Amino acid sequence: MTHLSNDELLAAVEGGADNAFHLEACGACRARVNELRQVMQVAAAVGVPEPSPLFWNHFSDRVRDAVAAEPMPQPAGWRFNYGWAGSVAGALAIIVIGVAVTMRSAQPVHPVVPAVAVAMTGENLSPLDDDATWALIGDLTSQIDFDDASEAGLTTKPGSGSAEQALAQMSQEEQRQVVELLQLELQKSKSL
Amino acid sequence: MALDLTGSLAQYIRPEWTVTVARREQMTAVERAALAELDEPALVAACLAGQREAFDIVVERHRRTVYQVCYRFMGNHEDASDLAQDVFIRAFRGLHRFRGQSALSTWLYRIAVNVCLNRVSAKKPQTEPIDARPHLDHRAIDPASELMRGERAAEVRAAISHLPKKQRATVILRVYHELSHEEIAKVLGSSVGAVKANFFHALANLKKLL
Repeated sequence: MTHLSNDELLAAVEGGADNAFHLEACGACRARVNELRQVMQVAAAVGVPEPSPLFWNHFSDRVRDAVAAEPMPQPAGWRFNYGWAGSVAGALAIIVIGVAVTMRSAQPVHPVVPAVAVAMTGENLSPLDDDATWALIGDLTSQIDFDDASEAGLTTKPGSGSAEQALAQMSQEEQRQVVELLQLELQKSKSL
Repeated sequence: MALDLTGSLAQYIRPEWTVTVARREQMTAVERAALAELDEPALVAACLAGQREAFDIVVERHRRTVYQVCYRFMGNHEDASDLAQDVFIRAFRGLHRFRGQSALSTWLYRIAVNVCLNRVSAKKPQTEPIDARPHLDHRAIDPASELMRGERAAEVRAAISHLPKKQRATVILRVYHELSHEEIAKVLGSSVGAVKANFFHALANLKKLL
């Protein structure tokens, strides 16, 4: 015998008579319905203590005072809605940014030759050591102390979290080790 | 009528001013009685038109029901009273959103259930302290049976407070407020099938807990 579904059991608990024949024949379903009906009756018997009669007037007064402090509710219609205003402002911002990005990307871009490509075509390039201009600059700058150059504004100001700042915060020993590592890497790249 | 403004108010009034004193408009008993006869859509319309007194009528009509819903969730008078007040303030603030498609009571039930569920999420439910329970008239009721009834009631309240939120709301609205499954579905914003399933499982869980 197929037993009643939960929906059918609930209908029977709540007084429905659709499955009366089944309940007469099926002891399991009848017991289940009786159990749940009893639970419902036990729960229903629990009341809410009635407050003092004075409470209701006091309650209404409290609500009236609280409502009096509220602005009057406006009828639906053309009300200023902060949610809508935020959405509209957000949509406008997206449109403006989109147009700006589109216009910027539409401008002709000067082709940038990748550094690797320049290095590969290195036939026309002379080594830096042989360049008289670089040699002159090297001679002049070798006499300048880094701190003096910083004060004169010739160096870039280290940004927060930048490599320059990280180097500036290193001890002399650490800086020396970094220089050695860099030289090692340069030698490796030359040998390739 | 001439008023003597020799007190502290007079110092703020310049001689060239014309001061008019009017008594604050008070609603007469007749006007209030007329408001009390309005149906709910008309009361809401009156509120929206600026008549705060119309909302007093709404509160009077529904305060007991709202309080009882809150009490069923919270299990004590203090919280129930505070939350019922909160329900009406929220209802007043959101009155322009009431479309009249469902009964005002359904709308208030929805606000009450939401307010209570939010509160019970944040606060462990309490039961009524013993000294706050109603005074027993020992001449009329057998104290022993009343005590047992009180203990049983506390057990039932505790069991209901352990149900999952939706099941608890469904039991409260169905058993104590006798809302139909369709009305509960509107209040909880769920389907009738879900309400029936919640109610069935709530009863089954209560059977285990009691």
